[in-house]
Amino acid sequence: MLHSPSVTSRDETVAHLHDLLRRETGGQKKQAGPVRQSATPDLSGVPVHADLRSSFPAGLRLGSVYTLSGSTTVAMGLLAEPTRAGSWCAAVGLPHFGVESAAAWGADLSKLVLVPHPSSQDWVSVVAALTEIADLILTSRPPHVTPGEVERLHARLRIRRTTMVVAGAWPRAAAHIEAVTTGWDGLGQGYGALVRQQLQITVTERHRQRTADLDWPVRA
Amino acid sequence: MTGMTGMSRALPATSTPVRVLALWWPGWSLIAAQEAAGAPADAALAVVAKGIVVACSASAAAEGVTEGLRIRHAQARCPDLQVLLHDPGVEQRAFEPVLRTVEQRAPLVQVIRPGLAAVRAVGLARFYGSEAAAADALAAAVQDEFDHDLRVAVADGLFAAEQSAYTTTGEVPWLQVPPGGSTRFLAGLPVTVLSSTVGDARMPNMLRRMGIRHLGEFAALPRGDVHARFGATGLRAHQLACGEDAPAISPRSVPLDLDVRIVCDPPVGDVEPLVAQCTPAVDRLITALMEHALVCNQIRLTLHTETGLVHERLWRHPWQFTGAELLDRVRWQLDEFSAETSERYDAVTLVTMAPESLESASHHAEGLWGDRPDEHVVRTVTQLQARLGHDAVLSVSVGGGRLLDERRVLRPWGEAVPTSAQRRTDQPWPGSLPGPAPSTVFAQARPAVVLDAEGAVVRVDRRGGLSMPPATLRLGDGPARRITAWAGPWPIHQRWWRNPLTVNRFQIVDDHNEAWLLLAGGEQWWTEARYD
Repeated sequence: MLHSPSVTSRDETVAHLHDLLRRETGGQKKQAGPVRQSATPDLSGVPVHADLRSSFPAGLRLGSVYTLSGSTTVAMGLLAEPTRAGSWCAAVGLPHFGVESAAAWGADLSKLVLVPHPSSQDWVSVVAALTEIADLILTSRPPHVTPGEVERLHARLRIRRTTMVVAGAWPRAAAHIEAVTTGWDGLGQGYGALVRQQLQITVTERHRQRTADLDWPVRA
Repeated sequence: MTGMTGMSRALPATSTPVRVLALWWPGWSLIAAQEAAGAPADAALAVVAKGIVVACSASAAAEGVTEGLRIRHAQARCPDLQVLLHDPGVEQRAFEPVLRTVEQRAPLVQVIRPGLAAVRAVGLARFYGSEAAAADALAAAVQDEFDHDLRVAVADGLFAAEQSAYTTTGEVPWLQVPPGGSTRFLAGLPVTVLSSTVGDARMPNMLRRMGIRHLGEFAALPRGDVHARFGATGLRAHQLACGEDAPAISPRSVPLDLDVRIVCDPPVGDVEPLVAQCTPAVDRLITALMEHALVCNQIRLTLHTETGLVHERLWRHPWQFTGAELLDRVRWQLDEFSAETSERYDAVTLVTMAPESLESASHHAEGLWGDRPDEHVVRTVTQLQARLGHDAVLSVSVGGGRLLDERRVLRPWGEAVPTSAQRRTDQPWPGSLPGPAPSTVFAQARPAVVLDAEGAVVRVDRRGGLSMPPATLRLGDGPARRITAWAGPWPIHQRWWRNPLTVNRFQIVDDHNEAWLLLAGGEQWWTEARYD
């Protein structure tokens, strides 16, 4: 409290401490060493890009698994904000990762680790190892994962508070993101060039649906 | 050499200089040049710098060749004179092994110039019993290995020791000026001896014209007057003439030898035994680096095999190598090597590791808000990389190029990401596409078929014109997709001088609302990337 002498009343102190806690948990880097088991609920999730915030008002839930179908552009957009905030992110099993697309979203590429070709035996252990450092892991679904492995991976993600976004189906996902391209601007019959992608993003979470339209790149 | 000499001269002079033992090899430039040229010792030789003889052999001197002659005059006096060029680098190199021998007997050697070295006499005299015994021991040790004329002298201060070494002769190669006797010894020397030490030949000349022939007369002058007349050079010369000299010598810094050689006897063919053999040596290397507070971020690994093959590779690291990371590099290099040669049983006989680009650890100290990733992140990802292989874990950046796959720069984790100039991002790349970047870029373009409305393959001519508007797209064995919109061509003309690539780019949107980036040349079509 030394640095904020204006905080005097008890309520304000509590609010200030909450704020500090929020910054701590939602924040920058993972703690090395022993895992902090926090009793408080998630105060904030993985931050998302401003243009995706209408689909994820509270960010992505920490320690949960999301499935994504449709657009890879949206997956790139999800990487942008956490890397820019200083968190590490990983892309596993995505050999055709479009680096420039991620850069266009404003992702900090120096905070990105790519494991393009994990073998299907290695996949679970690679993701488990990356939970140590990454706040967000983007991955494609491996050919087969046993229910036991799914269970252990879920526990691991929950403890390390790492969010995983799987392109494809996944048992027991917390939410499903469906990003459908509804149209393209700028291309005609033999003239023009692609300038804008029109997307419709539907997030289904516990029987609730939130649908938002996105034009990427956003119209100025 | 001049730097070292200058450094010793920069030390302040005191009235109680240190006792110095000087070792002098007369005619070192001749010895070095003769060894380098492989000339016989009894030949008539002369070492020449800028057309002037600076040293000559005894047989040339017998014919009348002297130092300071022009080459033509020397050759006139001695027609079979062999002229060798003066090369300070050669002299230094030839002096190096001699110095190492001296250093085995006496630590902290100051090199005044090739052929002249000095050590502190106090410690040596205590160790060997007396100064004479120390000089004997050193001379015997050096002359065991190098059969050159060696003179040894002990005096107070570097200048006096050097001058007393010059007064020795072949018959009496040893001179000891007793402690406190240096001033009296120097008083008898001519003032010209100052010229090489203070680096100014004009002052001794001026002194001689003033009638001052010997250092004793020079030392008798009031110091203030000498300083006022000759400046800092004169002051220094006056101090030396009075027997004052630096209270210490500045020994050379011996370059570190950190190279590691691991000899495998019997030869090792498998990775893990080889790594196990390398482990102790690598640990020693890392400990040595830590002891000297150095950081190594480039290392050259060489594998020698039984069949005589040599595989060399330079490994870089963005921060610094740890022991485990070095062993990983050995592992990967052997993997790479066996993949290249496909001779599975070619066993390794010798591994050498040469650290390159050693830097002081203090330059690499982590800042308060360190600009390198967390220790924890580095460790985790490096462990993952050790398990999966060197190029299985990548870091990414955007580079320059025409093809999209060239524009994504993927580097194995732990290798330094190329700078933006190396990636050529700031250069113009004609033919680059406007609009959003595709989120899926195929590492290898996939073949596709583009048909017109009548089912014939669409042809693209050299100028990018289409035979018919495209109507259907088929990727691999997939179903046909109707093309709803298209545009192009964006021509790519790459490296017309070597491996020319001339293709045209087209953007296509199909009826599934998927957009594709296609490359076309003639009747061949490929998908380069997908917008999705």
